[in-house]
Amino acid sequence: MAQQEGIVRGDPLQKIGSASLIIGFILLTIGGIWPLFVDFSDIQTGQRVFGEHAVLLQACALLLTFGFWAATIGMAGVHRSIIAGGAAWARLSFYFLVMGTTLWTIGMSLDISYAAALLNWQAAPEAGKEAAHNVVVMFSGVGFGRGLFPLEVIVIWMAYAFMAIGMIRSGIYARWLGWVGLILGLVGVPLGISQTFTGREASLNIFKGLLVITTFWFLAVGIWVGRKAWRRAR
Amino acid sequence: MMAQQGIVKGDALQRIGSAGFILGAILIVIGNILLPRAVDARNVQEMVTAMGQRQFLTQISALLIMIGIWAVMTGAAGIYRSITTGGAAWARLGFYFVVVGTALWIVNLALDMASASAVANWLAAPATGRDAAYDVVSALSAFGLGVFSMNITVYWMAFAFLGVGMVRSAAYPRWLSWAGLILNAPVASLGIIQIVTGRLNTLNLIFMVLSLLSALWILATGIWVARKAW
Repeated sequence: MAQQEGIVRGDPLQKIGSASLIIGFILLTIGGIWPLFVDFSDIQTGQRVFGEHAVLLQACALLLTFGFWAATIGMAGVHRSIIAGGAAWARLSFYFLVMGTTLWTIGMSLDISYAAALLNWQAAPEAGKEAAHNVVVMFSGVGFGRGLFPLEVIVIWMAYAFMAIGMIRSGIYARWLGWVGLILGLVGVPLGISQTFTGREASLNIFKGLLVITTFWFLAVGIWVGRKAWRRAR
Repeated sequence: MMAQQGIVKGDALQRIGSAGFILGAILIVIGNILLPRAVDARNVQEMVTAMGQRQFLTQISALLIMIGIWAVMTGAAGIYRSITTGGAAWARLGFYFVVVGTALWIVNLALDMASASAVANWLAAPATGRDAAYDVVSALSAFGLGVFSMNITVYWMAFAFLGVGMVRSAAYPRWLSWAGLILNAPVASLGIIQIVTGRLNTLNLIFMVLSLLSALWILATGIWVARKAW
């Protein structure tokens, strides 16, 4: 595929990758707008808001998942463009990213199930309300997601940090792009570690900020790669 | 990156990988020592209570084990990339299964952390909400058992495959390769047995001993690679 170091004009993987990073930015932005402005800093408030907008929550979870898939395709292009200096870091990063994307998909499928469980709970007859609520709790921020979400954050942002080290060491990418990615990774990993102990809700606003800046990083990398991969022959 | 068979001095992936194996083995052993346990593994309530009463310790140990597992994955990448001729297919398959197994470990440890949190909620719940809170604990624990058994099977099968790759490659000492194969294959079969039998104290003990030996094998492999790569 990309045997030559760097961004090769017309290389299909680089073209697909750059387009995917830009599409990822768009999907994550659309999918993230509503959750960004909703206050679900505690479980009860979140349950009420999500219960009122269950279908919207499912749509956002789907868009956020597609957005991360697109970003991972884009990172495949970045990984394959680095074959000399920094290649080991880029390779490790991509392995972690594939794993992180899988976990993100599981996490988002929990959110989709959470919304469905909320609808079932609201529609349940009085006698079955408690049982239905237990299912809601299972999928909520105090259930399975309580343990999974912080680990998703650690894996995914650690992968970005590794990829950024690869980008910096390769000398192919603009240095500022690599450094921004590295800083994002260095913020994401400790954030995930702290959420392991405090739960997701305690630092959700910091995570939202991190996600917004990361999506702009996807856009910047996508445009930077796209300008080289899609340029016309003179 | 790695066209040459074996451990190449100065190769970045081999250096990172060897450090990953050494660090990973140490963190996994420390994390497992710290992890709160019940005396009777068959008693789910006793087991989850032990974890919930020491929620912070459960979270710390789960995090240490998790970081250790990630580090071991980087080490496995180094082993896989060092085998390019004989045994390369086994090493490749082994590494792919290591990635799957690592993802399952994350799910598994996330369940442990969620269970610890759910138990803490259950212990603190008022009398009227205790049954409901315990239902969450019970559901997470049952889910965890299934994931754990599959996890053991996939993860150690992956290392058995890597062991076959190492034996066939001749890039590693034969004793190290055979030790990897002999130690890791039985742990994979333990997972299959546990799917059928559920949690048993004897199985638990065998698993603890074999997984400790497996961690020592990872440490030995890491040291062996590091001595060549660094």
